[in-house]
Amino acid sequence: MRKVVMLSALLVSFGFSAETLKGTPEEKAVMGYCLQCHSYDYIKTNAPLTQKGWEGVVKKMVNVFKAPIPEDAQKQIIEYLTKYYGKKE
Amino acid sequence: MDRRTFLKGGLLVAGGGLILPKLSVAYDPSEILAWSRYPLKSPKHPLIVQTMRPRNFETPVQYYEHFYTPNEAFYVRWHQADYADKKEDFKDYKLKVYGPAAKKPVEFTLDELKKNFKVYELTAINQCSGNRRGLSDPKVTGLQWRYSALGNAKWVGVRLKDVLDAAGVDPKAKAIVVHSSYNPPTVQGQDHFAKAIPIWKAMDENCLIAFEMNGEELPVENGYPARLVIAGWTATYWIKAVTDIQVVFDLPKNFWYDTAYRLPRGKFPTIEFWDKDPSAPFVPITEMVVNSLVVKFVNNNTKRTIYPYEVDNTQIKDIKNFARMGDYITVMGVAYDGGYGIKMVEVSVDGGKTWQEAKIIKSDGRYSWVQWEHTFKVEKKGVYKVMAKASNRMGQTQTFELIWNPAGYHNNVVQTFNLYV
Ligand code: HEC
Repeated sequence: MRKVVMLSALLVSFGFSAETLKGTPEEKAVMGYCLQCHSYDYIKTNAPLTQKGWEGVVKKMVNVFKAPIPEDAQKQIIEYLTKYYGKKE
Repeated sequence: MDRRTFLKGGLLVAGGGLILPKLSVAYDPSEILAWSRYPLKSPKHPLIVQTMRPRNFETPVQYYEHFYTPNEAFYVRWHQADYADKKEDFKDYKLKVYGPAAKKPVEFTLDELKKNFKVYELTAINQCSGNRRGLSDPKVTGLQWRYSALGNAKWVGVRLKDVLDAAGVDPKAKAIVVHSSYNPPTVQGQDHFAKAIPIWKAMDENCLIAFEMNGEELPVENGYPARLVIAGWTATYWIKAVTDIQVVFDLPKNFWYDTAYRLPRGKFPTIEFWDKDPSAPFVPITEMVVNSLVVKFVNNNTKRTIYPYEVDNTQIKDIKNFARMGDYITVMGVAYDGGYGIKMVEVSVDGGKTWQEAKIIKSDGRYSWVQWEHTFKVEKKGVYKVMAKASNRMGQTQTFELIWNPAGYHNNVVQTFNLYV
């Protein structure tokens, strides 16, 4: 992925480096569903949210924005987000 | 792990059906770049990243020392990622006006628009409805903009009214519904980003279809080849790359105006427009509330300038090692409202106990912002709490406490800067 490497080099020249989602590759694999419409930036900037907050977000993505995500995957996504990008009520 | 195997992992867990995003930039969407600086429009003018896909970028506050916000630094806001982002994509551009309440459907190429109608110029503020949302407490979801999802520009275009008249608007028409076919939904079943504008506003002579911004073509990220200018109202109505204007008696259902972009009824002193359901607790956002923004402090003795914000605009920065006893300090900023016109800007250097009227140094019509400045002498040690407060000709002014609302709109809380001596 030469283009990606170029982008990272460009950012380093601005004094920043890109990050990726927290957690192990296995844990965050399910998050690929969220990339269909937008980057993970939305997750970072809206975090932290409570479990209820993340449930609301995922519901909105599915019901309003028509994200095709099976229900079991939705559950895993909410668990993942609460674990790594969550906060207490 | 590279992105390919990463997404493959997603596929395995998902059991198929994952659609790869259509990438229009050299960039990997699983990388998080929020809050970094990225040279989107020009290598010389890196903007603050909110999101890379779709592109949402904030202008660093220091650009507002220019009365007209430079196009290369103008903020960028898109909801859906698959919009056309190259000028050559618009070769067959046409603007169509049609719908049940249009007597005669018409369409125009860009050249026809320029030739068939009289061209006007208007300076107007373009501010995202969600500007300052990221300062909401309690926090609300959505783009976490700080202070600078706005800009002031000179727009050149034709009157929306003249184009509507060419199609013949039925006297009983209620609204126009506007969208861009160059900005499609990202998945099937999702609503097109569309806006409803009441006829009385659409027919206002200060609403334009603009094809020039600050003397140049619009950047694609800001609506090339032509965008609406709905002067005084928040930028959600300023549809970019506008292609479709439907004149209607009744509004078709659409998430982007039925549910999104709404305010609790009665909480803000802004003009209301009809609603489908007059008893609905949330009404569409309309005009901007009166507001001011401090841009910089200048020490007239040392000639130093300070822009009191963190690089990523996350928050206001305390001002230290800048002012000494006896120095003259000038604080400079901008002020604007929904088009009634700024009447006065007052500055306090003692945390709001006393206020002095600032000098308006530049203005350009009632839809433009004004630039103001105020100079004071440092006469004691300690903390100067510097605040600015604008009022408009309607007598409206800024608030000291946030009027919290679920979408984080209309934050015009007076800013406070701590200047340590
Ligand atoms: C079908 C498309 C789609 C998918 C898939 C999708 N989103 Fe979104 N998401 C959107 C749209 C559209 C927005 C609004 C973007 C904007 O206005 O800038 C959004 C906004 C958001 C926001 C900001 C809050 C808000 O309500 O605007 C968050 C957080 C978010 N998405 C998280 C997620 C997560 C987590 C997933 C994976 C479960 C996901 N999205 C999957 C379409 C999608």
